[in-house]
Amino acid sequence: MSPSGPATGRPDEGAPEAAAVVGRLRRLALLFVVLAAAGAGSLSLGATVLPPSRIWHLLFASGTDDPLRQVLVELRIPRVVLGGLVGAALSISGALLQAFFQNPMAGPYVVGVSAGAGLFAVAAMTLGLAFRFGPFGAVPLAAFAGGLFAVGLVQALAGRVRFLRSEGLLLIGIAVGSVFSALTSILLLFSRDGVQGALFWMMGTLSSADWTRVTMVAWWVAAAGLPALFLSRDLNLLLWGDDVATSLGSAVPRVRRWILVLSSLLAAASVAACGVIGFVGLMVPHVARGLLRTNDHRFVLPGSAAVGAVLVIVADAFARAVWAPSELPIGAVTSALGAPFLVWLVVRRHRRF
Amino acid sequence: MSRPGIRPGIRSGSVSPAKVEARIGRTIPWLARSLLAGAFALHAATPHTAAAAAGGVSIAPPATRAIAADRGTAGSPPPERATAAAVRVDALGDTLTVGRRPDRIVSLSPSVTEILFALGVAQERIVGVTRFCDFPSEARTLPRIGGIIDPSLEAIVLARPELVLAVRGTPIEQIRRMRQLGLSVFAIDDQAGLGEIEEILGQVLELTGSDDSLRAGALIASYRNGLPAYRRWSASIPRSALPRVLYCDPAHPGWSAGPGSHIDDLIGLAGGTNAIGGTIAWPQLSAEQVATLVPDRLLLAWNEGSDRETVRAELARQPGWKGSAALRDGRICWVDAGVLMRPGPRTLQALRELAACLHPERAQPEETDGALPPGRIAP
Repeated sequence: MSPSGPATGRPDEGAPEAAAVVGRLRRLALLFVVLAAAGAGSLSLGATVLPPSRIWHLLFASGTDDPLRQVLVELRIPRVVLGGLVGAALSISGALLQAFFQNPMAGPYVVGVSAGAGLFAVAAMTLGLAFRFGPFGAVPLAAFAGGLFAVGLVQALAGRVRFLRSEGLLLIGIAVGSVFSALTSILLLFSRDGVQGALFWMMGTLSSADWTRVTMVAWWVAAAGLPALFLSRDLNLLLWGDDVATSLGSAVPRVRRWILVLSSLLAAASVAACGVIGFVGLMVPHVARGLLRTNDHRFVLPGSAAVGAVLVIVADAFARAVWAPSELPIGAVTSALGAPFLVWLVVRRHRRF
Repeated sequence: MSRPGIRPGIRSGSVSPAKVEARIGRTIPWLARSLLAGAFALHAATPHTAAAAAGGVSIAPPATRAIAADRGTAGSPPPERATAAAVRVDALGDTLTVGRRPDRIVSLSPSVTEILFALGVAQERIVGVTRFCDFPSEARTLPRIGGIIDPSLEAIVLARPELVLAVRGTPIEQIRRMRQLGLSVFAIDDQAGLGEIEEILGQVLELTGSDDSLRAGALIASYRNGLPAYRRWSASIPRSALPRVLYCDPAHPGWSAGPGSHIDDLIGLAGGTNAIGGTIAWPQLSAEQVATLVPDRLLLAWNEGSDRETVRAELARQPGWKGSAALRDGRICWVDAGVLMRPGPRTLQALRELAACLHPERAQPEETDGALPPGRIAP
């Protein structure tokens, strides 16, 4: 795949016209309006369908002992908020990594985050580890540690590669991920308990969302997502290649280190909160670029956050409503809903050239 | 929102935050550690931390030991003891204070549903089951709350249960959330060996009470007397007369059961030896292994409504099974798949069927109790 393909993108030629900037801002604002609508709309869906008027009544007019109110306030709202946060985190992570690798195939799970998190989480389940840290039990914490461990390992190994830095890192990430996945399969074979739970967790689920977890993840996303916005200019320069970026005044090694740290933290936090939701981080940045019609990271990063949040919220509403009261694994739904849209966007963009 | 009767008890084992932090500190790089520390400091300042931690699930070693100690005494409670308040430890090491008899029970597993019906718990008191609960047939008409690993918390809350019976396979995160939502949850060890069935039946009876105590008592007594009888019976058979038995579910011809599985127990008590050795409870066999095992008998899972000859012919086409002499000669014991996979009230009858199939010439241990639960064993 050519690095200058439309999906990777290069910064737009020349100085952006003021009108174009206004257009992008308008589209970005529209994305956030869609996000608000998706969030509010998905509150209606679940084991019981609640019409908006009923939601209003439950929130502001009814007594506290109505089980429907408990369902709404303690289950559904935190779930929708967590879905939005996780979608935003994965998408920002994906946008950062695609700029890092200058490769449209990059995503948070390609650098080994998901495989490492999956292995550690399954190990925690099979060993029956028991400790708590704030709202997180042993399994999410193990996932977090595993994700960071995998990325650290990948980076340490890639440090030995002198040439083709980003391709080398990508290949090593895939290789390390494969080893971790293999170890996970072997562990699952030997374990008696928790195998089914592990499998469902590995496909992702938002069903254990609660307010403490939402708060925790919100801090993570703010702590790692906002600094990413300040990297926008450097990310734009990176798209021209390391040499050009350096000559234009970007401290490339430091920027690269920050990208890796921030994107890993975002992805690992989301894996810890709700398991492995595949495809979001890979796909959403492309969708955001297509919808905003720009590769400028000042728009792509917040746009990705909004699109990712919408995708996960809608997918989760679909997952819990379509077969209620049973639920579909959300990873399957994000892929099934998102992939055709991505294909449509790519085909449309290719046709234009 | 705490229920009047049964409340989650105070946890018996917990880990101090400092210890946890130290453990995490060893595994996470410095940046994550400092961020985590910051987040924890922030989190500790929020008031609901203690409640959330107390509602959580852990499999702490002290509690696990408490289970082991409990096993000695919880063998066979009298049917009507459910009114006395007592603290019980479940299969995951969490405690539950047993109080008033619950009138609204949610079952999170087909095995639990089966136990509830077999113990004579009135159908009106079971207000939620999983979509897999198909036995007895009355269970199919009960309200559904989702699957085993994906129960819907919304549906469970809306069923307003006074007691939620989970199993070891229920995701721990879901159990934690249910406790947080004020529900009384108790996890049953539904993958235990045959020897523990009596204890599990007693445990459930103590929690739920029975609307037909004669039936419940007869069921528990049948296990208390029946299993030792079969143990003595199978021990009296000379080793040379024990057939080598290979278990297989024709729907998944590669999967079998090894030592540590309840099917291994079942084969042993029925007077056979498992053709599978090793240490893996549920091994996946290669075609080569299947071809070289050469068992004396096959134990095949059978689903109601399926034609055995078709199943047999289909299995014979699978790689590794073509040359199987036992399959060709029809040296097969068929047992209902649901009974085989869920150790519970119907297991004793499965044991009886299998023993009769393996040793048709030997007299079985005499009937210890006539009041067995209705089974769906293959004739």
